[in-house]
Amino acid sequence: MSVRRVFIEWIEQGVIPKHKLEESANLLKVEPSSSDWKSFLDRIFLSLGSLSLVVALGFFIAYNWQWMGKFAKFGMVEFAIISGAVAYYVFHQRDLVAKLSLLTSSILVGVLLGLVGQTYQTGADTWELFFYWSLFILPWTIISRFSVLWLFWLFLINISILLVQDTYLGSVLYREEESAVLWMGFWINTAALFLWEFVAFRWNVLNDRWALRCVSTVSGAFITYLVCLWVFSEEFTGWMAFPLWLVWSGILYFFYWKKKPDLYPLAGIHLSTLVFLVCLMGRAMSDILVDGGFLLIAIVMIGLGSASAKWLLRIHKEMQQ
Amino acid sequence: MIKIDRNELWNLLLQGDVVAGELPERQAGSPWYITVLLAFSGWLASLFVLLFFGAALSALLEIHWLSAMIGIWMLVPSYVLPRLDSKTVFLESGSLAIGLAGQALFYYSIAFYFGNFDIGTGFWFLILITQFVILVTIPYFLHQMFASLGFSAGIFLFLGSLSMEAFVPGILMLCFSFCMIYEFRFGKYSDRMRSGTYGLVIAAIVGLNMHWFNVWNLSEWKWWIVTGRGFTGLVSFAILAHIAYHYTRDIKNRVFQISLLAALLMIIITWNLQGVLLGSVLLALGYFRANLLIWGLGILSLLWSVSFYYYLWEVTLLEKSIYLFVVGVGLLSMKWILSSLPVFSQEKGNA
Repeated sequence: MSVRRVFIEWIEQGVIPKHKLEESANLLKVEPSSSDWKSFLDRIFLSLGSLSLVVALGFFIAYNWQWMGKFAKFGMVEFAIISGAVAYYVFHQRDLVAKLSLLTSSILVGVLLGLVGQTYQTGADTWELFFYWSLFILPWTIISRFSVLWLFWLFLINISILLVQDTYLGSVLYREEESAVLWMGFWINTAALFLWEFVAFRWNVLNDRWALRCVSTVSGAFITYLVCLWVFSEEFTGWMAFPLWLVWSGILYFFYWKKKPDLYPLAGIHLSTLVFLVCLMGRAMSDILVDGGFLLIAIVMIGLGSASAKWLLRIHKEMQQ
Repeated sequence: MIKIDRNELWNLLLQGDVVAGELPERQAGSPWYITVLLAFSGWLASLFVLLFFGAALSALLEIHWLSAMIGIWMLVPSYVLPRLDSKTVFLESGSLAIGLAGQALFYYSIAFYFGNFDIGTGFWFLILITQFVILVTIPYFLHQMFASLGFSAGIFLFLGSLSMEAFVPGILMLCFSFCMIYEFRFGKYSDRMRSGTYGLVIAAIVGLNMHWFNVWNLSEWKWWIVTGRGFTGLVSFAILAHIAYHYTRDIKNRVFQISLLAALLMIIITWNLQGVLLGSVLLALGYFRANLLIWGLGILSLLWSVSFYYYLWEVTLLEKSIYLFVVGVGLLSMKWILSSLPVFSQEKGNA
């Protein structure tokens, strides 16, 4: 709970007189001080400025400027990559600068691979670019201990999976195609989640809750999609979707409730269950899905949503004590 | 996460003579993702309620004036149920689902009644007004958020029908910045300011980055597009200036003047990329009000804007590259200037 949250709570309870609200905000230091602002702006300008320069270079290379020789283009990108790596070494004492340097170099590796494909017309499929990109930056990702870079790395892996689907099996929208890619997405992201939690627990690094929540969201999205597809077509997903969804939900629920309390994944599991049950009801009532069937589903949805919220708020209260 | 000691905070207020008496009992707040869960279930339930109407009462839907009246009546539970002492989450969610379905029914019926779906400016204005009324009257936070989104859509559609959609980002920024800056001044109604804020911010981010506000037509220098963008810039400048003034309280203060200059520079360099300007304003406002959710939405807007910039076909990649290079250098220059300024050692109001 933050100071802001407590302040808002007291305002809503009416315990702070209306004419003393500004004075109270000052006393509680709800607003950041001038030096807080300086530190904040310093980091924002650095992060956004670096990102902007990296993207600018990427666009520049993608422009495929004909009269600039290939060695000049390669030299430019490689110089930028090496500069980033050197900056990481030089500024290793300044945490954010070092990590951002490595992040920019990692992004530029992708630009370099794109340039290789563009210059030599290698004929490689797009998924290969993202896959090899993730492979090459893996050592930097490991040494950086930077959650943003790890998320970027996972993003590349997920993109390469989706592009494999697109290249060999048609659009991911067509359910008639193999579900193997969806399973691959689920396994990779779930494995990443478990490994990340283990590393965070064992070595107390990469402990950013927001990053872990992102990974759990992607893992949950895949398995929820699979189990919903299972409702409508077991042949497509295989029989494993439902039992695996149950096991995944059970393990994560226990872990995030009892072992490492975090309400967000629990809420995600409730949402996943809600979506699954709606699909199940829709499928079960598909023959009689007229009139009262719709209203029944609506009532069940409201009931389930409310019950979930009430249960989660109870756990939230327990976690705060 | 830093554990907040409520007793310590209460003692600070006691010492400052702001409050008296015992520490109030703790109220369990609701994290944003639980709100999202309820919003999703309520919204989905409202779709099924509408399907029920369409299936079971299709004959009724053909009497447009009657179905419009029923739509309005369906808003009554949304007003009454959350005010009950015995209200439960189920009743509140139910009131949301019925209310949303009622609104959809009302607008659908009106659209048919007044011209067989040949709707114009008047219809969009009706949406704008009714959604605003719902926002200020309905007591349920989630419903207020949906109304805020509907209000934003109403503004966009209304101004769009007058070819003035370029003004929408500025208007939305004005509305949500007002709600955020004066959030605490409305006492018990501050939750309504917050619900309004979130709806307006989401609408602004989606609309601006989905190119709905015509501000991406860089090759078309129509006066209303340029003026619209200028209006957005002006509003952004006012917001950033307000935050700077909040700390310095003196327009002759050097820090204040430099902040204004930096804000102006930011607006100029993001002229062609107003999603970045929106994201920057959200970051500033979110940090000012210690609102992490707004902060996160600001980052989302920034990333989305830069990603979509690649697909803007009217501008060559070379021009985009040069532009982003200028933006990057500008931001790093601001960082350098900031680090060479003296630390802001005076809190606001002190000489």
